[in-house]
Amino acid sequence: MSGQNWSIVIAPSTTRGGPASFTPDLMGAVTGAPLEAGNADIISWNNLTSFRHQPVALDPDGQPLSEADARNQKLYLSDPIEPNRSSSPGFVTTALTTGDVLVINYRCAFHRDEQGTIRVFNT
Amino acid sequence: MKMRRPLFAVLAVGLVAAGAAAQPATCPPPAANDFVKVPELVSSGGKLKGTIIAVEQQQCISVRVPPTLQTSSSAAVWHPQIVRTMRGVGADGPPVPPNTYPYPLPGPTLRARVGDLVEITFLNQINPNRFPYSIDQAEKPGGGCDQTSLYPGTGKYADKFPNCFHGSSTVNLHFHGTHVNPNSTGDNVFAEIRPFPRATTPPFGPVMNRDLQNWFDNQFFPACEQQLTPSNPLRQWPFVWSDLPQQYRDYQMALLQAYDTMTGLKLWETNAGQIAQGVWPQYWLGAYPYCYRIPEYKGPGFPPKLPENVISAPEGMDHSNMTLPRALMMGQAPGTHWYHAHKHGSTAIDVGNGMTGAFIIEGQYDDDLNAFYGKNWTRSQPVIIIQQIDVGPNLERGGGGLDAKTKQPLGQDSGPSFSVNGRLAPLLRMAPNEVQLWRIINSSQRGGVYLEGPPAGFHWRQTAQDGVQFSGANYKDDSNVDGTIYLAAGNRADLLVMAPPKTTGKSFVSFLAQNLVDPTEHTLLLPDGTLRFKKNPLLSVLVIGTPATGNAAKFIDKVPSFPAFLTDIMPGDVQGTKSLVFKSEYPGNKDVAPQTGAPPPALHTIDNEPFNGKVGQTVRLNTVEEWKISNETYGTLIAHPFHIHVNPFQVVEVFAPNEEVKDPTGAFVRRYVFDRAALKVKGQCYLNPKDPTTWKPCDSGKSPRPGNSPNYVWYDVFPIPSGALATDAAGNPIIDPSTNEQLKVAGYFKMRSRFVDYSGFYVLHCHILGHEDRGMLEIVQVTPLEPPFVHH
Repeated sequence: MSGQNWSIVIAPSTTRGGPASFTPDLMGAVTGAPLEAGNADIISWNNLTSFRHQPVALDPDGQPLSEADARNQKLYLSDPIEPNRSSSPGFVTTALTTGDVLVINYRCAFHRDEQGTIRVFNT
Repeated sequence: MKMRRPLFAVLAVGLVAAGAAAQPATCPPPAANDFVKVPELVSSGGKLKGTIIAVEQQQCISVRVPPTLQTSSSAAVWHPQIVRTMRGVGADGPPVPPNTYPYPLPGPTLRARVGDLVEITFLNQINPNRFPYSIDQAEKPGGGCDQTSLYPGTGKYADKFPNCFHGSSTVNLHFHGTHVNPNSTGDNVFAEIRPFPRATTPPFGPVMNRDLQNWFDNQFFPACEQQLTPSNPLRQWPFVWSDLPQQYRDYQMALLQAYDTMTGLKLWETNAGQIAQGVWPQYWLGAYPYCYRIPEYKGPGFPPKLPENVISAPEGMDHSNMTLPRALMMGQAPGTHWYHAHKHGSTAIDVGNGMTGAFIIEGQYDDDLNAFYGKNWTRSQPVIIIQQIDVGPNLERGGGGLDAKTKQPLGQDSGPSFSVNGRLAPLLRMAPNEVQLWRIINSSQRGGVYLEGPPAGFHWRQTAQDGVQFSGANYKDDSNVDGTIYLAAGNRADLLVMAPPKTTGKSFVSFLAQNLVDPTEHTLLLPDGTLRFKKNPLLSVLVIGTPATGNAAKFIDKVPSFPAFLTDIMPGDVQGTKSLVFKSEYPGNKDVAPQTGAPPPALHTIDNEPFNGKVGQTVRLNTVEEWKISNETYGTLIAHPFHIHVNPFQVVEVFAPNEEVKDPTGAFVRRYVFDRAALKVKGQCYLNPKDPTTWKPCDSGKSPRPGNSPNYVWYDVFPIPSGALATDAAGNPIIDPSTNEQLKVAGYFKMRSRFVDYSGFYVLHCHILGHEDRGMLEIVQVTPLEPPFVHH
């Protein structure tokens, strides 16, 4: 699959004060499930909460990449997303040329307990 | 009469169910692939009244794998994708089983009759947050192109506002092929309708005033009916802001002011300035009422005799004088027309998503066909809406070039595969010998549909082009017997198709089509000798059942009565001329885009300039002009489909320097050569590379369709022949000494049009909509005949 567009919902927690969740905007998707995408897909986030969020890719140690590192690695996911808005710029995936699945773990820059995963397949 | 239609026809959105079993991000292909009849909104009592809702929907969309050129081994993989679509209230599509995604479906087919009043409530319920930030930021300083990690790019090849993809949640409707008022609530493509605001609590639906439909149904549309009477078809109403219901005006002002506060834009301020000048405001939020009369020409004869009390009242200047009767110079041609989203910057995305639909305007054409084939026969015939369903332009994900590492194309060469009424190669049924009328609409965003001819055993005759019927001579011409059909993006064709005399059993017959942006490439071969642009099934036909007999098994002999106002435009009628140049320029292989390493995208211009928001062409009302439209695109062949709104045109001359003719062996050779040594086949013509006056068609003056002059064919979209690079007989470039580059010879066509009945602003553009969005667009102003002054 390639050339598709995907939306990830940032939904408020069902418990008061709890972390928001990242869930693919797909029928029947499980809360917090990873999004599966292909090469050259565009991914955006739809913020349904009353707070600002910003997905930031993590390095292999689980630490957020700096903006510069993220851009260099083509892993800059989004600018901060205001409440009830969608993300910008759209994140264009680049699959691994080896054929392995690229796993992008990310979390919210403002809320460290909010975490998500994108899997990019080379198809 | 009070009417309260369900306004809150919000389609179900994909809801996330916590704890539910995970679903894979795929969806199955349709279990059955029967031809789908698109639901219709049909006029009644002289009115086409309905509600069309623009809404996003998660659909099963097919993607071609691999994404490059379509071949017989190409697979279609289906994925759930969120797209913008149009639905008609009360015109429901096929039922969708629970927990499944629907398949694409064009917008409702509109069916009206010449003379009817169109009253469409248009609602924009798109949720912009389900897409990468698609709220229109166009009015902010510096504008606002869509932003992805690869678009609009940086440096000299970046798309620049306003000629970039942007604001795809802002929509409007263009009624393509209609000869109607281009202003206010007519075919006004300058109106920009943004989505309703959304609730901030579940289910996050659109927030709409419950009284909105009442304002339209009980105030605006009744007033429209009083103003736009059949006896005064040129009355343009509403004309100013105050013609709208007070409550609706207050509602729009409040919505736009709140929107401006949220976004930092100044839409209401702009509107207020336009209103103060007596100009129809441009920005709307959520809801828009379309109301216009489809003009019926009553003749008799052409040109019309002006009644004694008709005076040249000022148009567009003094609203009160608009009540004076005027003579209709040209009516609406009954035929196959269509509608689609048309907001500059998002036409490609929105049309690619599927925001198109058929608009069948009935009239004497249908009456005459029904008299031969049976009562209401034309209404039972298939309306074939071709689309290229896509989620977004390739440029936003890196363009159509090659991936820097894999060297594989980043996008789909030639665009997505053609679908018919939302399905791939669906199955139509015909009885043996049966004649059907296929109304074919190419509502693709890019590709031209090339049909070399009917399959063996089938026959066809074309009866109309772009919703304007053929003359009797054109219909009967030999070249119209099983002829080749090329529909550029935006073209339509009505075909009478006859099935073979025997059933096909359980097998179906495929009608094959090539996807071409230049029809001369239908013979282009790959190094292995196979066609570069393969013939792929467009639709399939199963011939089954009891054979048709009588007229049902015949091609109509006498074509429908030809409208008087469609008489040929002769050279002596021409009062003015113009020349336009369409050009796509490629930066060259030596340049690469910084982001992808692929060749940068092309620049698309008219008269060497991308769209700049200013008037490009001016014509006086009720004049006849002849235009020469040239194409200076070389190397990569693109026959830009030229389209102009409001008035159709006759094509009177075509020069296609890349055209081919057959040699005695059946192979194709270039028709036009620049070296006499290359003249080998009858039908070839020599163009003197040193004498541009020879760069014209061999049969100058002959129309490209059957029949000699007169009997020119009417179009509203015509593919401008690509330019040619001159070579000698050995294939070596011929150098132009003035540029020291290979000699370039532009292709062109000449058209004549009557710019009649409606003054105002509208547009002309390339109907490859990505080109239009990125600059190949001009504003046309048709000026009123009289100033607002009285002279003594």
